[in-house]
Amino acid sequence: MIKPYLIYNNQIIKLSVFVAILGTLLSGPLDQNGFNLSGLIRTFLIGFLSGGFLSGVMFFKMFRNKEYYFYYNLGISKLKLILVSYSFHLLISIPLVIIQLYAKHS
Amino acid sequence: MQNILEADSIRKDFGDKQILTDIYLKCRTGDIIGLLGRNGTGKSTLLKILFGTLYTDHKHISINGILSDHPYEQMGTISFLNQGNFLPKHLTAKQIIQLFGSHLDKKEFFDDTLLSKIGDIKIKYLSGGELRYLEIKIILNTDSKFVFLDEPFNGLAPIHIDIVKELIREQSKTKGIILTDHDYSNVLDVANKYIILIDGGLKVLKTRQEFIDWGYIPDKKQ
Repeated sequence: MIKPYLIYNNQIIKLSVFVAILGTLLSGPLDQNGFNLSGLIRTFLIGFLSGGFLSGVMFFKMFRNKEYYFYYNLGISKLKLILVSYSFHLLISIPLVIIQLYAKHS
Repeated sequence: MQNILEADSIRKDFGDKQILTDIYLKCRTGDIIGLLGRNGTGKSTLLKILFGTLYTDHKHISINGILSDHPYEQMGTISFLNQGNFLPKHLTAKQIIQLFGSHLDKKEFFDDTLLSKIGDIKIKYLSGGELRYLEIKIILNTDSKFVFLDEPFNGLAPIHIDIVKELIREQSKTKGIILTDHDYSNVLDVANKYIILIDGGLKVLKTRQEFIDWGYIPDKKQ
C-alpha cells in the first residue's frame, strides 16, 4: 500500500522544494560566467535532499505530530515513513541530475 | 474468535519520576476496560506503550501468546484513538476510509445522521465534534483485534456520546477495548471492567464505592 507514503511525502516535499529554492536563490544563481544552469541545479538538489528534506520532517514533527497516529493506525512506523519519503526525494532528483550533467557537459 | 492481549512487567520512567511500575494487564475479546486515574498518572503513556509507539526498557506484550514489541506494525492487531485529532487535514473522509481497508462498506459507514453529509468534505472543514466522531467511528470499525480509545468523549455532544457508547458496545462483540476518559461517568457506564492507575500500578475495581475509597470519585455523602 503505497498511498499513505505518498500522502506523507506530499506534505514533506512542499517544504523541501521551498527550502531548496530559497537556498538556491540565497547562494546566488549567477557565477563569474553569468547564468550557470548546472550549478543552479546542483545547489537546488543539495538543498532539496538535505536541509529541505530535514526541514519538511521537522516541520511535520513540530506542527502535525499527532498525524503520525494516522500512519501508525495503518501499520506504518515513523522511520519507515521517513525512509520511503527520502527514497521518493531521491527518485524525483534523478531527472534533475541527468539535466544537470547534460548542462555541465554541453 | 477469542483474542487475548497480555502485558506484563511494564515500567516507565521520565527522568527520576517512575510513572509505571511493573504493570500487568490482560484484555480479551468482549472486554471493555475502563482505565481511570488522575491527571498525569500515566494512562496515555501506558496505552502508547501497549500500542508500541512509546519506548520503554521494560515491557512484555503478547497477542494470542505471540510476543510483539511494536503491535501497531502488524495491521489488524491494535487501533488507537489518541487524544488529539490525527486525520490528515487535506483529505476527505471518503479518501481516508479507502485507506483503512476494503472491509469498510462506505455506504454503510456514511449511513449515519452525523456523517451522511461530510463524506466529500475535507477534514479541515469539519467541526471539532464531527471530526472526533469520524475518528472514533473509523478506529472502532477497523478490523483490529483490539482498540484503545484515549479520551473518546472529549468534544462530543451528549447525543453523540450515547451513539459512541452504543458503537463501543457493538464492536466489543468482536474486539477487546480499553478506554480512558476524564468523564468517568461515561466510562463507568460503558465499560464492563474497571481498573484504576494509581501510584504507578493498576488496581482492579468492582464497585463504585471502591473508586470513592481510592479517592478517584468524590464521596457525595460527605
